Amino acid sequence: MAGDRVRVSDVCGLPLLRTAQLVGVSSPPADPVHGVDLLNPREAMAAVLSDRGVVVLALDAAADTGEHLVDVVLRRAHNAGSALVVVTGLTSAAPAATEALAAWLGVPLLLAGPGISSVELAVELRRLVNDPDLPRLEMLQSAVRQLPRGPRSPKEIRATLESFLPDSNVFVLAGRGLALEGAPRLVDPEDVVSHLEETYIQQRDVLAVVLPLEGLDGTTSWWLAAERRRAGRLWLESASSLLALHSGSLLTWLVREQAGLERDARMRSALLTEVMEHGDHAPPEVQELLARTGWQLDGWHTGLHVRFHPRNPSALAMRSVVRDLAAIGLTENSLVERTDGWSAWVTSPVEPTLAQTRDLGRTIERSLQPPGGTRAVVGVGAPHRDAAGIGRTLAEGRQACAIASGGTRAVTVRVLQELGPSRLLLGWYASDALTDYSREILGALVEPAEADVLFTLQAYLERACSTAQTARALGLHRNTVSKRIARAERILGTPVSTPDTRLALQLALRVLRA
Amino acid sequence: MSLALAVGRGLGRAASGQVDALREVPQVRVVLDGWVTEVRRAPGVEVRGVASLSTRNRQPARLDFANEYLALITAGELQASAPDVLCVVDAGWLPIPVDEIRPGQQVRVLVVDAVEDLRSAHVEFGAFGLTGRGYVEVGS
Repeated sequence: MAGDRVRVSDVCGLPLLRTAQLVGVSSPPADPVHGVDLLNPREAMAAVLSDRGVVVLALDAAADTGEHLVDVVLRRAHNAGSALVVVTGLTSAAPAATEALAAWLGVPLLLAGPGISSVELAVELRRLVNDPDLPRLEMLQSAVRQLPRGPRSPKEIRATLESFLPDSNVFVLAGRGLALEGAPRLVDPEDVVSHLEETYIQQRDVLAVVLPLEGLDGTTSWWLAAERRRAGRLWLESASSLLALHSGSLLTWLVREQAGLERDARMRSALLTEVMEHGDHAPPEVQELLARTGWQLDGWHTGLHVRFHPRNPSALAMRSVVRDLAAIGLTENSLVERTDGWSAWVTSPVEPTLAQTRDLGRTIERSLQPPGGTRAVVGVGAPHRDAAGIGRTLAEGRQACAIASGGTRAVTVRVLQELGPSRLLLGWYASDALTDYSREILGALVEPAEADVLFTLQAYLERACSTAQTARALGLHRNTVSKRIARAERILGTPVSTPDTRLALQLALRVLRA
Repeated sequence: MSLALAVGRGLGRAASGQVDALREVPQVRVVLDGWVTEVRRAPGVEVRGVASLSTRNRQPARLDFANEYLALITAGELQASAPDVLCVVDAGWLPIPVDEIRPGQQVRVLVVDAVEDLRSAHVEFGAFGLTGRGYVEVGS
């Protein structure tokens, strides 16, 4: 006997019972389990039931004549103080009366279905109750034997951990809940990355183990986690040990990969500067680098600029963006990190038509899925020719991106050639003098502490000062929007809805965003 | 025959408002007053199923049936089973046969005690009661 080590939630989490239906309680309770009573229908009324025991009622699936006994056994289990009733061999779902009885008596009932052997289940349960640590130790022993020596990718780590933790979902997150491998299905990614020390999250019948990992700079940069529905403390202990065991290989891989990606990104940024400076007459070492990265200088280039809000993801998290942008023929080597986002261009041998450039924008809008918690704004420049045209089309993409910054959707794409009268504002946005003036107009609103107020004000102005539409667009309550606008007006010292103030504020906000 | 007539008369008087009339009939008990919440019938030619009931004080009950009502289990305790005769009547004290019971009906379950011959040793084992229908006996 293992004291109170084994709980009902551990029994419900047994792989053998993964398909069993839990009835009578919304989630498995943490009540202790002290024994196992296996009953066949003929002795259902006579057998002595143990206190805090798991009662296994083995019905004969072929005969289909003992289902009424479930109710009687539930009552007997209640009277004896049993912890749980498990029924095997049921050929159909329990009737409403049985479900209501389990809830009325407060006895958890697991309906295991006809495919599960009651003897095998009873043996498994007795093993669990009598020696709960044995399966965990066996599993850990096996995990240690298979422990990788060198770095392992998040994909490999996930596959290994999921093979040891049946029915569990393993994932790796980066800052702000961005998914590097897998994705949480039961817990909130924001909740996971809010933890800076190893912990576990419990929400109803869901358990998750979270192991934060520190990068080279000593800050928590990644989170390795496993989650499972209907898991008990024994699963938690196993998952926690396994995650810790594999975290070293994962961390080595992540640090190495991050360093490599950042080095490559720096190299591409430098290369782009060289291309924009020298055009077709780049020195031989630059030509060699160009050949290695696969950049084409000849042909018609259409530039695009991508910016993420509230801020750009890391080079590692940008991989998912690269995968999305493969739809327009971009690769990891195509993206160049800039001070305010990422640039890339697509090249074609003949000049793209306006319709083709427009289609490019639509494809990006359809394919791009910004990493968790971010919005993407994309600007697409007009096509320009050869090396000299790269700088031009990228600059236009950046300007179109500035116009697109007004959007609040997950992905907003603006094609320069479609901008119409708003192109008039492009020069305005690029002016340094106006940037300073805009800061002066907005005053304390540009302080980080007022970021929410500034964001709400921007959305409010772009929705014709409609509180209802702004609330709907931002997913806020109308009163929250009203309070934030009132605060903005207090800081600015003027009502924001008068036509002149509104225009001035909109321009100032756009200039700052650009 | 006299018992059947007494039960019939008792039901008639109950339907006309004398709700305690059946109490005067020996061997008859009203064991449940409530509603049908669900009826499940097994597929196939043979009549077989279970009705879920809820009593007036919200206790869950199940009424298993084949081509007659076989067992009433209320709050997990056996209240009555064949060979005693289980009879379900509606709000107007009219009988509801097994093929007409359906969710939403207000029902009472009456039990008429079986004659001793049906329980006695000379009756071939398994011919009556739950085991006669292939069910596992619940016992007491």
